[in-house]
Amino acid sequence: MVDIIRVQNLSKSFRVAKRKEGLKEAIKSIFSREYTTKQAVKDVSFSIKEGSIVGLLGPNGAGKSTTIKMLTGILSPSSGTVSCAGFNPFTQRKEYVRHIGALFGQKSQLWWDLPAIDAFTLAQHLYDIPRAEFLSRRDDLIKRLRVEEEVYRPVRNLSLGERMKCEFIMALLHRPKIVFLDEPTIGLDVFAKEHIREFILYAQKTFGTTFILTTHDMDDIDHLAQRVIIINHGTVIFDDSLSALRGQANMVKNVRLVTQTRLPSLRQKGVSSIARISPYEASMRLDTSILSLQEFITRMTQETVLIDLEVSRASVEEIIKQLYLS
Amino acid sequence: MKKWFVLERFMFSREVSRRLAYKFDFFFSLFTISILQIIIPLYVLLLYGVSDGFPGWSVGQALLLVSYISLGESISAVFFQGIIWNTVDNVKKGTMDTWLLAPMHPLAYFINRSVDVEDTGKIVTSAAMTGYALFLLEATILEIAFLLLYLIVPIVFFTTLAILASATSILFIDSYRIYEFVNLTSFLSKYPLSIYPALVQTLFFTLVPLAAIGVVPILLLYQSASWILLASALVVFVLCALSILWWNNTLKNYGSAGG
Repeated sequence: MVDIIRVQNLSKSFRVAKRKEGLKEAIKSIFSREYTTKQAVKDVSFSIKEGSIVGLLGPNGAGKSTTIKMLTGILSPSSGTVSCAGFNPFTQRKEYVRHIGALFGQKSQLWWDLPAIDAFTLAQHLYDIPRAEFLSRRDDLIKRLRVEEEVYRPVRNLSLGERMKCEFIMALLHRPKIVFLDEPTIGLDVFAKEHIREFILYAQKTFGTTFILTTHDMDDIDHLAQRVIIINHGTVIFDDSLSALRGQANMVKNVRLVTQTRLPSLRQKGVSSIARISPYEASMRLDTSILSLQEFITRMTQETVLIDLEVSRASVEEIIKQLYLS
Repeated sequence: MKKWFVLERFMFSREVSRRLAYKFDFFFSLFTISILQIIIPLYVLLLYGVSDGFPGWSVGQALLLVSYISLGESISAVFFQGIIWNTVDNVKKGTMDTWLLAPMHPLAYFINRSVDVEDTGKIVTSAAMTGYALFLLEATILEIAFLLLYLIVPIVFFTTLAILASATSILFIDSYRIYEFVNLTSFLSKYPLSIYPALVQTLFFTLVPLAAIGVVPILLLYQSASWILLASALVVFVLCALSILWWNNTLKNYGSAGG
C-alpha cells in the first residue's frame, strides 16, 4: 500500500488578540491591541497508507481540528509540507477537494428545511457525476444506510442518527479517496453508532477509501482504527498501531488493596495515580513494564497483611488519558 | 462557467422550495419588498407633478434613472448580494469550512449558495417601472436593447459592493454597517448629476463611478452626451476585479472557528 497522505514538519500558528476584562480595557483595545501568537500545531510529521483507517486523537484544543483543516485545504500551514492524494491541499485546493469527503459532526452539509435528497443532487452538480451513475450510487448508499424514507423528509424532522447517515451519503457520493470524519458518532445511540461503524468498514473494503477519524469516543477507535495518532499541545505524542496501544494498556494494571494493618508507603517506581480511600484501602496504577505484579505483591505482603486485592487491566481510554497527562 | 450557471439554476429552484416551507412568510416578504420598491419612483412622479423636477431632465428620464438603477440592484440582490449575510453568518458559526470543500472557486460557490429569492419581487417592480419610463420616453427597440446590454454595469457595481462587504466580513466578521454606509452612498446615483457641484460630478465619473450605473446611459441616449462617458463604466469593471482580488486575499487569512 502506498502513502496517500504525507505530512512533514507541519506547523500552524495564529495571531490572537488579547483583551482584559471590563469596559476600560475594551476602550483601550480600540487604540492599542495586544496580540499573542498561539502555536496550534508544532512540527507534526506522519504518513498514512491508502485504504487505512487512522484515528486522530487528542484532548480539546490539542491541535487535531487545525491539523484536519490543513489536510483538507481549509487552512494554510505556517510551515511544513502536506501532500494528500498527490496534491498540495491549500495551493491545489480546487482540484484536490474533488478527491476528498468530509463529515464534520457538528457542521451540517444538508439544508435544514429541505429533504436530504435535494442536497444529494447538489453533490451531483458539484462533482459533475453523470446522472445514471449518481442515481445508482445514491440509491445504493441510501439502501445500505437504511434511510429510504428518511431522505424524503425535511432534515429538521430527522433524528440525529438519521441526519448523520444522510451526511455520510453526502460525503461519499463522489467516491472520495480520503474521507475526514470529525466526531461522526457524537450524540448517537448504540444502534446508530454500530450502523455507521459498519458502513465505514464497508466503504473502506469496497472502495478502498482512506478514513481519518477524529473522535473522543474510544469505542469508535476500538472498532475502526488500525492505527492511532495522538496529538497533544500541537505535537504528536503517540503514533502506532491500535494493537501497540492495546499492548501498552495490557502492561498497565489498576490495583486496589485492602490491608489489615495501616497501609505502608506505596510510593515506588512503576506505581502512579495513588488514591488512599482509607488508612487500610488504596487504589493505584501499576506499570508492569517497570515493576512486575508478582514483585509488587511480594513487597506488599512483606510489609502488611493483605485482606483483599483486585487487579484489572487498564482500558485504552485510561492509557490515552495517561498519555495526555504525560 | 457553465457549471456555475447550472448550480445557480439549481440553487434558485432549491431556494424557492426552501422558502415555500414557510409559505406565509415568503409571500408576505415578496409582497412588502415589491411595494417598498415603488416608493422612490412614485416620489419622482409626485415631484414632477408639483414642480418642474430636476433641471434638464424630463419626468421619463428621471423615472428611468431610479428604476433602471433599482433593476440592476435587484438583480444583484437576488443572485449575488446574499454573500454578504451568508459570509457573516458562516464565518461566525464556523460553517464556512464546509463551503470551502466545494471543487470550485470559493467566491463563485459562495455566490451560488447565496441566492436570495425574496428579492425577486424587487426585480418585477423595478422592471415594471423601467418599462413605464421607457413608454414615457417612447424608447426605440435599439435604445431598449442598449439599456438591456448596459444593465451589466449596475449589476457588476452592486455585486462589487457585496464582494467588498463579504471580504470585510471574513476579516472583521461583523461589518454590516460598512456595507450599509457604502450602499447609502450609492443612493446618490439615483439623482440627476446636474444637482451636484462640478467636483462631485467629476468624482462620480471617475474614482467613485456612481454616474456609470444609471446617469451615463440616459445621457448617451436622451441628452446626446459624448460616448467617451462610457469609459466610466470601465472603472466599475476595474473595481470589480480589484474586489475579487481582495476577496481572494482575505480568504488566505481566514482562520476558521475553533472545534
